[in-house]
Amino acid sequence: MNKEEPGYKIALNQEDKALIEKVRAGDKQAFEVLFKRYYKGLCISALRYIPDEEVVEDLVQDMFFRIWEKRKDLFITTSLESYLYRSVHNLSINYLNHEKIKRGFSEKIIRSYRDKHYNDDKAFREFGLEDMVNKSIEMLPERRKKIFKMSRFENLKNQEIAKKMNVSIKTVEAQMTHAIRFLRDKLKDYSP
Amino acid sequence: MQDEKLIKYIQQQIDSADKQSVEQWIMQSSDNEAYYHNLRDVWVASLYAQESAAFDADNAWDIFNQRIRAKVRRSKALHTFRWLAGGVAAAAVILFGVFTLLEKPVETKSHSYSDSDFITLPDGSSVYLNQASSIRYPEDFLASTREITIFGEAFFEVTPDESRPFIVKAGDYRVKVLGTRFNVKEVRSDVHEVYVKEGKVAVYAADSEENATILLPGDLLRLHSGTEAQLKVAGRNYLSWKTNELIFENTSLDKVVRQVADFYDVKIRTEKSIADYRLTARFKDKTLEETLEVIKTIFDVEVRKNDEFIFLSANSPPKDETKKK
Repeated sequence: MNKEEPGYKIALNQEDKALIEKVRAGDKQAFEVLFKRYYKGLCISALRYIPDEEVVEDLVQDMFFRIWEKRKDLFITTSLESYLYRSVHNLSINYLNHEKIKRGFSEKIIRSYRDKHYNDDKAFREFGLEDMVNKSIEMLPERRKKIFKMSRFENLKNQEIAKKMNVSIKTVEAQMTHAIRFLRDKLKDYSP
Repeated sequence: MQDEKLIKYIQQQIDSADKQSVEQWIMQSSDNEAYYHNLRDVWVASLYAQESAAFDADNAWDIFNQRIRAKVRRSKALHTFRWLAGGVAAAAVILFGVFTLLEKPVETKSHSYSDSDFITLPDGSSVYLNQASSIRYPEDFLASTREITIFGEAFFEVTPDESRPFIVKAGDYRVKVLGTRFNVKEVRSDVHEVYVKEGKVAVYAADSEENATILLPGDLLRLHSGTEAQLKVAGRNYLSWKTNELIFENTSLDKVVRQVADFYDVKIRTEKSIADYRLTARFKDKTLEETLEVIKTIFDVEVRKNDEFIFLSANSPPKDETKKK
């Protein structure tokens, strides 16, 4: 599960170790480094379970808060990264368990997340994914890209996009489908 | 299952009848499930390309810091957190009120969200208060020092009086001057900045004047409680809240937008493709709309708004899909 390339792991652990030591001693600047390095990636990985950006940010905040409060007991045997991602994973599942009735997640879907989803979290923290995503989106044809971005980054509904672009809603849906299929194929190596 | 439906499900834009059938389909087999997760992961991962403030770590860190100070353990939902933050602010005001009662005679000038305010102190010194800021000072400076307390941000023009040093209290710090023009800003409750426009000031932690840092004109000192102070470079628009003027000289649009957003207290997102455009301009006494209009015209960009954000994007004409890639 935590198989990382040997060279990569050593380099990372050396730095992690120093960082953790400092955090344990109460060094807030070290904690800031850690926080800022992992914040975005952790949020995005939690978003795989919880499709709500606000909740996800709160969840990651809470996790860091707990770590900071209990910093003296911070003993990490694996890499810092796996520790953080695993914590977020567990918190996400807890959250889903609590919220399932309200949000209408079925028990079975949650269980399936819990059982097998964690294993490919690593894909989401691989260096280079960000680049890869950027490049792939840029490769979309102009209009498709625009529609995709409006939907993804500006949270516009398909209907609103259709109106803005002066096309039918069917066209927007088709464009979104093409875009996501294309990205899936481009990112194949990253999403197992 | 059609991809269209799955994708609408992922976008959370599906009607309830279809939603059920999609969920049933997902749970029918592990192949179906894997197929669904594959598509959804793309949707999630694409957030990495979000062109600006999504999951902004700097901003999150500031919030985190406030929480540590206020010991807000759980946020649960953002609304709870906002409410708690409100509670903290109220507590600060009450505390402040108690001090006021103990230390009379004292006068408090404060104001929230109006234009910046101008105050003349008993010794003739001038104070320009930024929005949502306040100062506390005695009706008359009778002591051997002229002491005032600041919450928020203010610019001072101090009347020279060598026999009575002028001391500004900002959180755990003190700024001591004889006669000069300078700015004190509470960035967060544990971070303060002191900027000197003219003259010379001494900055020190409340209990250690002997370790004072001396600042000269143009110096900007950033003070973090518990860590070392940093000397920083003040941007050209550091005092824009007072001058009501934003000046840009060959500044990237990215930076321009950040300063404009700060100045007008709005959130603006900029598309990456236009972030490097360069702007040289001066905006004096302009409204947000006027400023955006100028940016829009100069760069031929598109400006859109929703409830939360303003979006700036390239104004590219829709291209013909039939064209080969």
